[in-house]
Amino acid sequence: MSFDELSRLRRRIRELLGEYEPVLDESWREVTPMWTSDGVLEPLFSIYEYPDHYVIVVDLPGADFSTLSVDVKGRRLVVRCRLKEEVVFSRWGTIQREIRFREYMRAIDLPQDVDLSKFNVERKGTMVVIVVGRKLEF
Amino acid sequence: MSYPYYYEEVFDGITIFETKIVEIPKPSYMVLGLPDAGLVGSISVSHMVRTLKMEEFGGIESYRFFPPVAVIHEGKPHAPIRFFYKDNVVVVVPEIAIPPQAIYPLSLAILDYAQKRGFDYIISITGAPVPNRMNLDKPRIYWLASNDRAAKLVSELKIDQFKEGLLVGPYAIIFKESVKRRVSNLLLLAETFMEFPDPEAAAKVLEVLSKVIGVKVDVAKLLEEAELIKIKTRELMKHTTQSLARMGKGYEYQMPLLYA
Repeated sequence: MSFDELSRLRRRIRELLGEYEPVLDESWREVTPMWTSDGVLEPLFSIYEYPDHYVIVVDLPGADFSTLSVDVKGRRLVVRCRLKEEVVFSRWGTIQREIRFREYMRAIDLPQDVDLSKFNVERKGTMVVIVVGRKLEF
Repeated sequence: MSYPYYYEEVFDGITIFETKIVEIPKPSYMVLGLPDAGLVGSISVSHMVRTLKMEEFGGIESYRFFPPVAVIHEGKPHAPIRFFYKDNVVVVVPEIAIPPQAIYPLSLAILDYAQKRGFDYIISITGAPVPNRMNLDKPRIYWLASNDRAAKLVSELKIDQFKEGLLVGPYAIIFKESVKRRVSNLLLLAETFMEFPDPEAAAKVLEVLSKVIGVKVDVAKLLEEAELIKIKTRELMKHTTQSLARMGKGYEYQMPLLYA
């Protein structure tokens, strides 16, 4: 079996098992920035696992929470929120020019056993707490 | 930073250097702000550098244990961990997350240097991660001391001792070795998040530290800029969390078997 055939087979098995193929492996993810040059910041987040639910905490300091949107497409959770005011960094890091950040955006792939019929979003300080149900039988 | 170094010593792959001759009056305090849970120590010491207008005089480098980093400021290279001073207070400010393999040699090198330099006290500022930090308006501060002399620094303050639990990371090594070597090491632990920067916890710990070292550190600006600091420290926090996970930081949530 050739390498290409093996890769296709591996991808097919992952699809059948319902796993997503990560575009970036973890080592590469460690060297990618948490911002884009067109003004989007990636927020820090954590997922906590409980027997009957998941809690996803996303930290959005400086955000204008009236613009918060939390959407789910399939098993992909997308959190977006504009900043109260632009954050400007000048002549900084690998890009030696001014960058203006305007919003947060983060897509989070939820675990396979989520139960989206139970879904709640709450704000605590600078944090957004998203509670998602978890199927007891999977 | 200017060359040549006035002092340079290599401790097991960790190089500690000073770039100017500095006399630190007694009683001298070395305040450590190594990155840890909530970046409490790192945010605290960097705020001290800004508000007290402290002056850089050296740092820590390691070609063996640190990532190959040159910190550039005003076109000049600086060490990944920098020393600043004002009067009798020296602070240790990191620019990078500490790689797990650097924990032991770095902790021991800091202690060796502190002993050689004759600091009277080493003060470690750290975070005690609590799962419910989000629900706490005012994080508590705890203390832990390597000897009676260090404990005396907080004897007049109304804060609780950290009595039971596990410590993980460089502060754990520095504390254990300080006990063994009879060095006065005081840990100030602030309740914090494990994986989110926590300037509010840093402000609380700085209020205590001000009383301990007798130097007023105004935290108004730190609180005012808390959200901006959280934005700026996201990447250091991310790398620190990755490093903490690799060094077994999760053990701090574990109840000790004997006393549970």
